Amino acid sequence: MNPIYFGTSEMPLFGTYYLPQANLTRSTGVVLCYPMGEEYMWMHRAYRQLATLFTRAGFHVLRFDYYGCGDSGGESEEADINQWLEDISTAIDEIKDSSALAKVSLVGFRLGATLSALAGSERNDVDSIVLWDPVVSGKDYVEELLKMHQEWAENNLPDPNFASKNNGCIEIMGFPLTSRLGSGLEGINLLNIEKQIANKIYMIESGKMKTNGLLNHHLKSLTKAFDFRHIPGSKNWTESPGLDPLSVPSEILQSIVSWTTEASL
Amino acid sequence: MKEKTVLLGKSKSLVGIITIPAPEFDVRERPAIILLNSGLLHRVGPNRLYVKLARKFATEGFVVLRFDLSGIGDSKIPNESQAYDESTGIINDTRDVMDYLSETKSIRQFILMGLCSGGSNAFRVACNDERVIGVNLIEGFAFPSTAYFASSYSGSFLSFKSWRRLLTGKSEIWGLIRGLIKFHLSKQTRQLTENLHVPSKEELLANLDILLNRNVRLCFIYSKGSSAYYNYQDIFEEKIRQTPDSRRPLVEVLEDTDHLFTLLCHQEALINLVKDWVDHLPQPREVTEIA
Repeated sequence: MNPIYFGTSEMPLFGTYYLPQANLTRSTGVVLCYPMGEEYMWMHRAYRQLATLFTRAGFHVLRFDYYGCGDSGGESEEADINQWLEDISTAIDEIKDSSALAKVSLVGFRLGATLSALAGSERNDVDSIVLWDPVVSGKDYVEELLKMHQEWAENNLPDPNFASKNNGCIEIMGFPLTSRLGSGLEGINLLNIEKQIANKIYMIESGKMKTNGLLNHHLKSLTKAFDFRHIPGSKNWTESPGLDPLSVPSEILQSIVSWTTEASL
Repeated sequence: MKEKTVLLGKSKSLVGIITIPAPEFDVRERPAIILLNSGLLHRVGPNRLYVKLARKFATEGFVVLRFDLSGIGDSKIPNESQAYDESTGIINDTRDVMDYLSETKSIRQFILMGLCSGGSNAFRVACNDERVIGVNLIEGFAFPSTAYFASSYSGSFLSFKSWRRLLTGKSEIWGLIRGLIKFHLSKQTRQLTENLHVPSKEELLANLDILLNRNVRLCFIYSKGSSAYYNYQDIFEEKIRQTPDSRRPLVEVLEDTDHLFTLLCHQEALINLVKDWVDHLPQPREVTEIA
């Protein structure tokens, strides 16, 4: 495991690069795409374990922070969906350079899944994608986040209204929701994707997804190989991810690695 | 300002990010700042608080290193085949970070900071290493006490909102009630104290004496809205009052904030408070002369 900064010196991205630990090396490198905000914080442990499982299965792995997130350069106020899509492309190029592999697999949870799908539709070297509880509609997602923030404020602050705005910027559970990020999120709708996002797609539903039927149907029409699985028992990850940072949904992680291994053959 | 990844410790198992000020600063003139994990969150800190602190202090000329203790974030336990002692591990890990900064940056003095367990751990490391000249405990130490319970909730009993939260199960009062039941079961309390390395009053005061005698500068920051944590100042209030002005620890209480200082304005207020405390620390040379 090697922590690195990659990308440009003006806009450095922090990543953790893993070499395969198995005797054989798989034909695709894996890029793990994080969700944003509070979900990022609580998913760090699960992503680390997922990376370890992938290396044991023979994959090169890169997990990384988007610009303005985690250990990467930039401030939280600079968060930008278009920039994050470029960051995924930069990460894909980075793992291809480091591993000398021609194809990649993308894996993402929540917004990370959504960004993976969008990035995949703009490239032709994404062999497979795992979409774990993807955000389908950015508009609904913003509403969900604002509602979650308001509920948090009502339960934790003497004056909940105090929490709604700060210096003209709306915030969500410790992170700014700038107008740029807000409009970027609201412009997302996975049902509007018209290009193939990968040769093979695996969608996992572990929480409540209002439009998964529509999304399943849509993605099936865009690719030859589409697998879907509902893995219950981990809804805490989407409803109250902060409740138990030690709890890692191991069944989902195993399922992701098994499917990606099969897809890489 | 520049950020670099570092692998630390004898087996290079600790992952850290060093933030280095612009070249015009002579980093040897100032102590380095080390940030310790807040609970199980990795070195980025809650809501990126540690990244913000690191960058803020780097612009002031301080080298700042945030890292993951063994078993947290990206850091592995050094030798997984052997039993890992968390208590000594935290001290050894932080010493490894100080050794690294001494060797690579010629820095001999350190300020340790952390939120929640990060603050408590910083305090413990300081008691065991004389290179530490300052400790900032943000919401450090937590110990449920009956007196604290009474004072914290005296105002809330009159509030409609508190009752609504209580009846809908959203109030943290249930957690406190559960905590109090445990507190009165002294055996469990002793066990909890041992497991979480929460010092007894006597132990805390003795360690406070050690640090004050060494002229280590201390700052305790509490959030008034975080009822489960805002209690330790009662224990050391008298001790602090008796300490001469020149060495007296600073105790600050931020109104209306939650335990993680979630709101952006609370993060900013916290960072400014920490910066103000650091700004008023004696220069390293002065500390050496007094010591």
